[in-house]
Amino acid sequence: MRSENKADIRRILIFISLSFGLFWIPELILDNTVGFDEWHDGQYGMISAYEMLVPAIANALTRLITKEGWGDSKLHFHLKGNVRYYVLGFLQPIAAGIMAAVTMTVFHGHPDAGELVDRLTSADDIAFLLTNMIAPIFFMLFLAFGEEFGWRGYLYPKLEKAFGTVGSVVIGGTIWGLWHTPLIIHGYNFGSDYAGAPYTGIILMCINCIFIGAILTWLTKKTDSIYPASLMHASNNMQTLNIGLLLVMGVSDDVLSKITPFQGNVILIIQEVILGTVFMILLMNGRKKAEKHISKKAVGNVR
Amino acid sequence: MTGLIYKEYKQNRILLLLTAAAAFAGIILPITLTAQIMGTGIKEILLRQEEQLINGIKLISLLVAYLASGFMQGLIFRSDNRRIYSEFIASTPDGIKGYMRIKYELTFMMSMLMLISCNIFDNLLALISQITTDDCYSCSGVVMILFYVQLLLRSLEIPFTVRFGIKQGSIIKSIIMIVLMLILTVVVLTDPSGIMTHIADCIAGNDEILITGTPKLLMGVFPVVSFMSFCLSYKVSCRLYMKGAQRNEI
Repeated sequence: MRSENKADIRRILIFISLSFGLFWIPELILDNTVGFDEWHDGQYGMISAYEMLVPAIANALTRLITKEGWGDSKLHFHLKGNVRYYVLGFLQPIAAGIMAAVTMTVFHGHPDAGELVDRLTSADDIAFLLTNMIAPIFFMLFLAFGEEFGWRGYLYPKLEKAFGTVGSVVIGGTIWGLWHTPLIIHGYNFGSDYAGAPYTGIILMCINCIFIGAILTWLTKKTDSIYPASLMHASNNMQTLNIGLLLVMGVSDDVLSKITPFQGNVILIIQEVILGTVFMILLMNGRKKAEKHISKKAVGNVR
Repeated sequence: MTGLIYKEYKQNRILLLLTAAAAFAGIILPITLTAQIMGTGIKEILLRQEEQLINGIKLISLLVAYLASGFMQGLIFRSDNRRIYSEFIASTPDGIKGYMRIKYELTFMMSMLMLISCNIFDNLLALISQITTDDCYSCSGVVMILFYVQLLLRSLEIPFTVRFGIKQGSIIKSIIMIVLMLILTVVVLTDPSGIMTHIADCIAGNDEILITGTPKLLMGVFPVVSFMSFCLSYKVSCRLYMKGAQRNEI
């Protein structure tokens, strides 16, 4: 048992070294040679998106290096009886967006049913959302698979064995958040104009990853497949939460234009923390139920 | 279930490789060949947006690549069409639904492979030419549309192949294709609200896509309808599988 733990910790360390090394080293070199903006938005913008595949590559390499095999790789779809988790995964970012919209309306605007109806029935608005946020979902799913196959498919299950479910979500989320550091330093997620930049951004990203990680872990555990989590990640990256913007009522353009990327992200992180806490509780309950079930079984076997 | 997946992978791995090769042939080859024939660099070819001929070549080669990948997807359903095997499949724990699910998943994965490969090769071309994908004619939008068209075509074709066998299935598929082509021809010729002229201008690089109102809504709804019909097609195929199997003599 002890040697198994040791082997798991060795695997975790190899995985972390590979996923950080394969992302950070090229990223830092290219940021300083090609330039961050050119690498992410300019000439190489689409190529840099493939960096999301690094955790999947790290997973595969770790399995090969440690000769672990491909058991429990969570690559099955497990669609039977689990379609609702796929739907939930896709809808979760939209729910966060709607919650953010309601928050924004409460603090900066006033409910305006007329405006709401106009937006919800506008063919152009709906078409924009469908073509820009729904149609490319499958390509984004491929990129999101890259991250999920690494984090939820490898790191989290290994951490869970050593630190328990909550421990795995907290430690895994922190590692996942820190992985984004080179991007946050250059203002990719939060911009550069905020107090304590970039350290505040890094801390916020870790908090965000811990709570989103709770939801993604719950989906992965429920289905024993990484695809519902990948779908949620893809939906999140496709900015489907902007569907919530349709519900922002009575907020003037003047107020909307003053919201910085940092403020916008903070509003969203608050929603993710609320939703993530719910799923964290569900994860803990699930763990307790499983433990009870095992102990009952053990008692039954003794009798 | 794992056994079925392994079997399908073993039987169809060549098709998976050929799908990626089709994407390569559809994206990289026409550009490099055109560059060779015209005696210029790839960058010059990609940046010559005003050249309708070059954009036309790219579009046609992409369509041919998609037709080839569609043909390969059809081949997935051509194996295992013996009655005795169908009865064995029905008796397994996963049953017909599990078997059909694997087939549909593989078809979907092949479509995804085509979509991903086309995007990767498209970006690779832009990268080696040292230009942004915004500067040149990027086929990622067209690839996206073709991906959903392919899903819709498979969702129509597969139930017929499952129910009536390969031969009749192919005939029905051809009829559907001809009807679709006729509808498309009528739309192109009559061109209601000038959409086709606008799309042609966009492909030629003379105009930016500025479709609004109901046509834009229809374009937005199309991917959703296409994916839903693919899911519905699976349900229909499951119901038709045994009826189709009864037609086989052995």
